[in-house]
Amino acid sequence: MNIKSAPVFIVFLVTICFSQNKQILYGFSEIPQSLMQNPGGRVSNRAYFGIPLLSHFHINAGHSGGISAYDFLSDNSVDFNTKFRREVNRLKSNDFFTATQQLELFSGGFAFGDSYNKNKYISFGLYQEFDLISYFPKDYVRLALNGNQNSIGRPFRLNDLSLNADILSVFHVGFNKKVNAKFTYGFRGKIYSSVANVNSTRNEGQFLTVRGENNIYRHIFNTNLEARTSGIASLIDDDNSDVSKDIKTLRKRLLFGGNLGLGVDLGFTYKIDDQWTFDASILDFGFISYTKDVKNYQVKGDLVFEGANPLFVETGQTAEEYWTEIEDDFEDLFAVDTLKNTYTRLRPVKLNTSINYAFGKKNKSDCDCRVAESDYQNAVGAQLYAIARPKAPQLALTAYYYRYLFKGIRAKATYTVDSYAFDNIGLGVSAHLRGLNFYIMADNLLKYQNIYDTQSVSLQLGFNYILKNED
Amino acid sequence: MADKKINLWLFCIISMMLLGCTKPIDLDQAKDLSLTPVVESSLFFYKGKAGEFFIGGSGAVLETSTVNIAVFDDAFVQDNLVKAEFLFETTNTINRAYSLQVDFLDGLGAIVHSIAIETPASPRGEELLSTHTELFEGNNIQNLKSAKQLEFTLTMLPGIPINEGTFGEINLKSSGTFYLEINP
Repeated sequence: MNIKSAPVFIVFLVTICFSQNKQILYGFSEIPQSLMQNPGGRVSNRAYFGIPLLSHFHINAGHSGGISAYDFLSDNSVDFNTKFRREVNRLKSNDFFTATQQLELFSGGFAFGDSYNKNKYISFGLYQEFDLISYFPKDYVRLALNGNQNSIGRPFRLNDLSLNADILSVFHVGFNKKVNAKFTYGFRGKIYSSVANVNSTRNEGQFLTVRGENNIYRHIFNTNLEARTSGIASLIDDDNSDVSKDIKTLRKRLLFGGNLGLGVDLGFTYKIDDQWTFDASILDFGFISYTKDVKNYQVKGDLVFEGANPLFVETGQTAEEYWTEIEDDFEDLFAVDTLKNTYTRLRPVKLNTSINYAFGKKNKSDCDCRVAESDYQNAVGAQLYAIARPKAPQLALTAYYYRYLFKGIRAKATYTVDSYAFDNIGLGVSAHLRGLNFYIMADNLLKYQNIYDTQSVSLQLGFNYILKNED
Repeated sequence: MADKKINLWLFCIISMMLLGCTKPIDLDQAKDLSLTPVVESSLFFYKGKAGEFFIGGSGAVLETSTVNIAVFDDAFVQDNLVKAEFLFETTNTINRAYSLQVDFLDGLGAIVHSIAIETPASPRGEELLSTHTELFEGNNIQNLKSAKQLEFTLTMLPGIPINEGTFGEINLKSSGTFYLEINP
């Protein structure tokens, strides 16, 4: 990306940004995919299979910092450059944009154990995931917008550039066991196959202009920038322009042909009494080892520059040597080294936990009594979600109300406070018609009056075929 | 009855989820984006002691130097530099006046711009600060951009003779303010 397209790229990011929290799906045990949020969650089916490619689609967009695409692009008489500068000045270097998209290719699960007590459950599947986080490179944007004139004595910090993007596939097998009426636990092993990764989270250094001694200014450059990539060089560099060949390569990588990694999910549910339950899970505790198709870029250098002395060269050099040295110093400072060092990265580990209270006994007529489900029509609870991110973990706190509406319809409404907003209302519905299950959930519903004015949106939907616990 | 109720609920919920509304936005205006950084940079400096010059009372060229410069030839500078201002600050404690001539030469060696910086003598050895500002705008900025070489000539103007023991020094500092306008 050249310097000219950087601001447009940033606007683009602000416009389409995403995150990973699935607060509506978490604990929604009638939907089989809720086991992906807690492998030790309650299982309410005998077996299921996801309709291939349609069983789970997730897209989640968000950015912190309290600004929206609407702030930039509203059709009003304010000059775009004025709006752009105003909004950019409001953003801080800890503000971030995140994007996540997931697509389940296939999934399924079945209960097993003694025929009178099938208390064990295996679930499995393959999904593709795209995950991006980019912090707002405040000081880079500040330099591009204003230059250094108003920042004499104030450094431009190069660690403001921090981003990571992954495209990967995840094959997983999970085990869940209901130990007794109170306690259920589960775990899930994952094999990650990375299609491509771009990572630049270890940047250091600064550019600083101060008053000089020999000259008006002293410029201090101290750079230690690094971008690591895998799975990208071969697609860009190859001589063939045959897209179908590239697609074949990508398909291979989705099926264990990429850079591989391992991970585990753990979770449990504990029923405190008839109405209270507590549960927790840790997801994607794992790593990917990037060894194939790696290409890293490094810019490293130190330079203090006060200008050039054209007349009295004091170092015993000829004038020509002196000028060549200055040129070389600057070339070295910005020279990009290409390296092929392999690297390993931890997956962004996630933590979910919730406390839940069920109430309001179901009427006999509402009860699908063949199904081993809760006797209660309603539940309320609080959920906490955290995800490890390059600079600091991101947190979200959710309060929810769950309701068994009618035979075959369950709904969950959520109120979430997170880095994106304080007024995030979400709603999810799971519909069950005979064996067929359809679910859809979305958050930030209040902002749907003007979708451009939202800081985040999230949408999940899918179709499953479920065999209920009829025995 | 129950079925109708369910359908109504489903209809309400799903339409609420799917029918996001929008207020007018104008994506085209992003094209108007213009970055206008102002970059301050040190340029040239020197320090010369009177005693190093060893010359009599007449005027003489002390030093000349020609430098190849590539920075203005850079495509980024060519496209985006709209205005520049050079500031020269001379501090003189020598009782002789100086002149620094900076000539900007194009690829053919023709002078496209000249700056003459006069530094008056300091009769009592006090620090005498003189400043010179050179503005490059309009045609001048084109001349600056066509410069491939800089030629510096420091001349000591006629005055009281100086020798090894003469007190004082002449000191030049300079900076450039570069106004860029980048339309991505």
